[in-house]
Amino acid sequence: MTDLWTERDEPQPELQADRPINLPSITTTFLLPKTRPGRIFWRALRDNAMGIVIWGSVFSLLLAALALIFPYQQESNTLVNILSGLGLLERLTGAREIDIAAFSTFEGYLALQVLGWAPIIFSAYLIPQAINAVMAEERDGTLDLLLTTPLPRWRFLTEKALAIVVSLMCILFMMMVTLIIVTQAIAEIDFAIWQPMNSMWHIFPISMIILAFTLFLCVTLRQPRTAGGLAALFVLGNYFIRAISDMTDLPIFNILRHINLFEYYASVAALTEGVNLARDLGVVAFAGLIFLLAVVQFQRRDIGV
Amino acid sequence: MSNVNAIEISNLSKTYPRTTQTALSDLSLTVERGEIFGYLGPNGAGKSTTIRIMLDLIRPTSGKVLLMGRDAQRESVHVKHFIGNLPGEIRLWEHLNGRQILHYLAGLRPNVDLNDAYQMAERLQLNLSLKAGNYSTGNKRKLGIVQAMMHHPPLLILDEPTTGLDPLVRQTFHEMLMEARDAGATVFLSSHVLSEVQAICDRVAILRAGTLQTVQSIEALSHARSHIVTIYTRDALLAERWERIDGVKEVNITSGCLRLHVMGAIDAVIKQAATITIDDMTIEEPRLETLFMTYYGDKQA
Repeated sequence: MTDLWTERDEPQPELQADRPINLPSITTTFLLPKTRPGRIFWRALRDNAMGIVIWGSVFSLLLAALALIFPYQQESNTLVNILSGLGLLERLTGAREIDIAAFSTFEGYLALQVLGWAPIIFSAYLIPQAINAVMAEERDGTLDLLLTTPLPRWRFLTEKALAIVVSLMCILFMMMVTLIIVTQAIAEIDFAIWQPMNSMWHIFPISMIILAFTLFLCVTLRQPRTAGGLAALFVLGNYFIRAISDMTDLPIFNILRHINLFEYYASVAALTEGVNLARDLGVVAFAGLIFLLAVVQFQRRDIGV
Repeated sequence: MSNVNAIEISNLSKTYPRTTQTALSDLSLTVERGEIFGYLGPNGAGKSTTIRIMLDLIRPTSGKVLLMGRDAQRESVHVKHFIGNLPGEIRLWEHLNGRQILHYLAGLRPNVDLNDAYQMAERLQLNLSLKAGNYSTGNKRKLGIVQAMMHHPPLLILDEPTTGLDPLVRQTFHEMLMEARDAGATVFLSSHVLSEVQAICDRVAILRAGTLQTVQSIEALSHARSHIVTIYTRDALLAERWERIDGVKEVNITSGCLRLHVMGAIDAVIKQAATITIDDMTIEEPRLETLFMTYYGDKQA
């Protein structure tokens, strides 16, 4: 009887329609060969490739366009003047302690136009990705095929999540490179190379929270729409609670500020003062904790019911 | 390890929490190594639920499943090294072609020889260069069979494997199952097609509404098997002549049409039919539901 759990070095037989099937003998657990990790990860990353290119290109072009427009915008400074006159500027970006004058700079302009909204914009990428990673595979029945191989559930979820994380990093990297190139090329913009790096890194921790929370919803709930809706509500709810807490002195909002997702995201400060690495890593660690809960929940649940 | 049963199910029950519907009730079953075991039951009987518990896709409310002597829930990753599974409704990654799908799934198992998979695909006349989105139901099924068997598992768990397959391919598939059995594999095959189970299985369990009705050898089931024989004739028909034949349970005569419900062998009926002029004749296998009605009484229908 052929032992199929050992490597075959002999030449492969030619096709024979009537070749009988050989069966492996059953070995003990510790003798069983392990499957190489990474299959799910690479497959998911390949499937995401087009999305990475599209999202990365669109955002890179947007950043490039904003940088090109900036010198003209700086002359008139219309948007900043209007918002500033209405007293909305600091509230829109949730930057209570930031000097209004900072918005006349390229950093302020960038935060106002794009980076201040980045977590919300990226949630439009991360939420569908997380739903596709788990719920779509389950709905399509392909999860059954994967989980009837010797693939632990935790590894499936971890590799899928890692593929999304790497996809996001690729998009952020494309944006960072674009920002570095255009800011160095335009004479009117006084921008150090570390600034785009900081700003892109700073999007990462809050995005991890959004991803982990969405994955938790995906393994807990049955309907993709419900999971997607609640995840979107979580992001937008946090954003608006933060915006309201900036406009009011009510004690309840002061408490809510501290548990608010956007309290840990300050796009202008990341651009001008650099990132608080300890705080950002703390946020990533918290995202890891939520992901761990998702893994536990995924291990326990029935599939395809 | 070699003496353990391939499958041991003890007091297995499953109630779905959301619907509180009992899908399985106190099911106990043993499948010996090296046999082809049929798992029969009408749709909704609990066949797929049993299989999904065996594969640890769903968790039992109570009871235990041992596959090759290992706990199917607690040691599920280990157990899956030895299982090949064909789901009842196979769905594939539609953007991938057959070859890519086999490559993907083979990569999740250690040391799978893809040449074996390609040979099986060729035997089943499956074109692996087509995208799964372009596959017919039969082709999806073929790919499902290949992925279930490509690593030569000692235990094959197949849920309605021949649905959508044409008769020739079905024959090839049956041959492949026989070869697997001859090489020592155990096959657990769920079906609602009585004739298929009769053709290839050694023993059969019949499940109904989540409860095991019986476990029989295929000979015993054949003895219990029934047919509906319909004869169209212009000759005069006398009910008594047919009622006297062994195994005839029910005789219905309408103008020019004789309808018989025959239990067991139909040889005597055919010989009797040869004595009259026949315009047309059909022999139908009763639906599984009818078989249950016949053998387990109306109250269980």
